[in-house]
Amino acid sequence: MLGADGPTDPELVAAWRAGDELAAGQLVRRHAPALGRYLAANGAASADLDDLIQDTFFKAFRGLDGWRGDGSLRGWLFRIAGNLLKDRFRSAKGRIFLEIEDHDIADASDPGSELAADETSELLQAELLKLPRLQREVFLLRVQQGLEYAEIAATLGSTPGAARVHYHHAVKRLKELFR
Amino acid sequence: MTDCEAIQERMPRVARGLDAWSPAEAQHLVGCAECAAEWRLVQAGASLHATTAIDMNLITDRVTARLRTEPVAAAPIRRLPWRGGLIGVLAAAASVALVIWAPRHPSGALPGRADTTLEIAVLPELQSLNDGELETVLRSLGPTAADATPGVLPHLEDLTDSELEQLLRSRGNE
Repeated sequence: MLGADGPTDPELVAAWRAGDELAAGQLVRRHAPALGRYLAANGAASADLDDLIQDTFFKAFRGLDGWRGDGSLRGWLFRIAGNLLKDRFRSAKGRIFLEIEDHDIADASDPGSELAADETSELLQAELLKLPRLQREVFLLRVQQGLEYAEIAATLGSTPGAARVHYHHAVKRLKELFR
Repeated sequence: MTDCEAIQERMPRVARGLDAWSPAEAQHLVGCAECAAEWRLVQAGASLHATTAIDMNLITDRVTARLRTEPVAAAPIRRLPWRGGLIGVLAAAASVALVIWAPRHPSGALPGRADTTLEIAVLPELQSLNDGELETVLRSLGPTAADATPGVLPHLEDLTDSELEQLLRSRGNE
């Protein structure tokens, strides 16, 4: 990330490695909101968000040697967060998915409820969770996070062409909600 | 690239406010049902969980605290993929060997070893005695023990453990 109003990610990483603890805090503040949105849209329970973000950053800082610096730090964080969430789903055996479907989807029969006010988002969220994981992640990285195909490919360990195909499959299915 | 493809390609950037539709593109979106549906989808996706609440201060404090206090983990030991299988095979082989061997040697004696091994084990404390101490022991067995076995004491160091054991037993039976 280019630092229009501050140091770049590589500069902050270098500063943290040199012992500047504040640099770590700056990186957390810079990327945590995007991570939170990404994890939530991927099905993380709201109660787990803080822990997942915290674990993502801790793992990232401990494994900075694995970040080559040629891809974006944010993409690398998305990759770690996605893997952590996948592990959590695996250990919970789908419990988190069910939890979101049970509590967060709008109740169309109750127009007075707060959830009905954002029915479109709720319907999209529910449909997203039915997609294959790669389709969902590519869609979110491109639409919600604004990554280009090359960066999505680097984040997910795929190719730009494959990322493009996943995106179009996801859009084709999700678009039915908006006709 | 058709008009539809070009417009769809740019949708994420426009939805995020990084770009804008030209008048012609805006007109296309009004008349093309496919692009209009996709545009609504991309807009909804771009704002998905835009208000997700996270405790930034808590996360920042905890991450920096963990980095301060939790030691860097050592590099994990690379386990060979067949390691578990090998251990299982070795354990099974050891079990089979024990089953075959145990009935033939119910006393626990190892095959091919003399009985003296077991006899020495009965008086293990003798093994730690030096010659002088052994002589004292012999003398304590009887007032004439040393005299009755002339030539024995000067050559105690030449005796094997079993011979010493037999000597002590013979003196003890007198």
